[in-house]
Amino acid sequence: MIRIPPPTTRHAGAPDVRARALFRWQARTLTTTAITGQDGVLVRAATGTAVDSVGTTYTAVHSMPRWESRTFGAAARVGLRLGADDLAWPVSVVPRTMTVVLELSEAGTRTTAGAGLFYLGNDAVTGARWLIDSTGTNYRATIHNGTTSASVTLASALPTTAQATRLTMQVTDDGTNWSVRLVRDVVSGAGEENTGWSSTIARAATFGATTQLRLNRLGSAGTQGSTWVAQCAMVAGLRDATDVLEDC
Amino acid sequence: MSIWINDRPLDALVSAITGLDGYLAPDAGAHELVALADTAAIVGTSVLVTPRTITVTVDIETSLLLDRQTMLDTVASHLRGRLRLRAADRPDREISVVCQGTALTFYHQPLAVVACSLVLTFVAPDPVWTDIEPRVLALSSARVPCPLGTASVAPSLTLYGGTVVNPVVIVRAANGEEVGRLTLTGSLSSTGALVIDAAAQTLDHLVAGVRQTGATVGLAWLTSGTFPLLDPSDADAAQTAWPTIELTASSGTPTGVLTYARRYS
Repeated sequence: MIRIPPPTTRHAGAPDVRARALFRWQARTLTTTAITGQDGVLVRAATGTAVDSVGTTYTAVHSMPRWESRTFGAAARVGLRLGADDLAWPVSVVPRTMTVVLELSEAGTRTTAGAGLFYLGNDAVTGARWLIDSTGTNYRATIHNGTTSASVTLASALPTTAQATRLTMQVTDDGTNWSVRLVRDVVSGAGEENTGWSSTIARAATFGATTQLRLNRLGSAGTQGSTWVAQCAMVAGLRDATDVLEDC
Repeated sequence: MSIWINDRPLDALVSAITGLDGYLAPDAGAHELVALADTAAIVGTSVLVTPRTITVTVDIETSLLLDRQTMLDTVASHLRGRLRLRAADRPDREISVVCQGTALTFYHQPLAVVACSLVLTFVAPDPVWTDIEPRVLALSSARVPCPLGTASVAPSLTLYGGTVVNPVVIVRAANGEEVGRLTLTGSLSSTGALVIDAAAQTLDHLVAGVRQTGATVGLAWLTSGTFPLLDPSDADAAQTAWPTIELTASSGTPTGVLTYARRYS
């Protein structure tokens, strides 16, 4: 038995009770099923390559996941390589104040105009939808109520290829209007950048039927990106990335 | 010493962590390899294990009764369902647990002091710790070394290869001796894949990402042998020599990918 000496610092405050994630998927579980229960569907109508833990490239056949090991600093991590791949989960959420966090490594999405990173909405890209895509040089977050939209774009053309990055999209919903902001944190790199809040648009009550959470594409026919994703989380409330990722 | 529940540092939820028991002791439970009597058939490699119990003692110390209850609620909100624990002295490993119970003890102090002690009892049905980040290894006809921890691993394999007929998975000890073989019968198409989960002892056959049923169902491929098991007794860890896995087939060139997380007793 180990007895731990009393720490010199004791936390005197009382942290708030927090809601658990609405959605959480981690590539290191080596399944497309989210740990919050949603079954993901991966489709790729061709072979695709990925790099294993010792640097060997392997080829996965049609619709098989491309688990890829990447090293950031001294730490190896396993993520899912996405290019000509569609990865989608059916989700049942209603618009409210929410935070979405993506952990990724850039592989071409940022430099492809309209390429999708994150999408929450229907496959036809109609009705209410929230998304992160690229302007062709910078990541951009957009909220759309089906009629009007508001976007914010990061000022810096970062991350560079292969940098480990956390993107945090926060959407406020005060019951009348929505507003969005995007935070980019290049881990061990350029650090954090914040777009500030967008102008407001009128809120929508629902995302509509057949809402999917998608990575790498906006809807089922948008421009596919090229990225490596370690995890994606979506929680209620305005939270920072560390806070979200610590909360399963 | 910090403890994380899922990825949340426990010491951020409570006033202090004052005790930790059961997490460091080597897994001393009886492990017994169980095989079915009919050795001519496919046999499993199931293992009987003794669950590990980990107790964590924390202090709840607030200035207000209301805050104490809030802190207890916060801790309780993080104890639901299946959890992952990790400790600061091996932050790259975790163990899957459920919280079996909590015991609250009030200190013999004046009522104005609202401190109390909380003992959290976690039970890990599988008593081993695993690497947080798994390993992904490309498979081919070459012998691929599989680094291990101190406990056996039942890995997952996905086999590919257009026009591959009757693929075979061979496991060898570090000295080259064959210690396991799984023989499969069937023909893989160019969009076909066999997903072998040695832990669950299942085999799925997918074509263009669609799981096959009926005559082409995955389990129909099983012919003889055992599901792959990577065991440290087949390694020479001091020489960093590890068990290997290789693929062969009656015809064609099988390839694939092996995924597993190292395990530690």
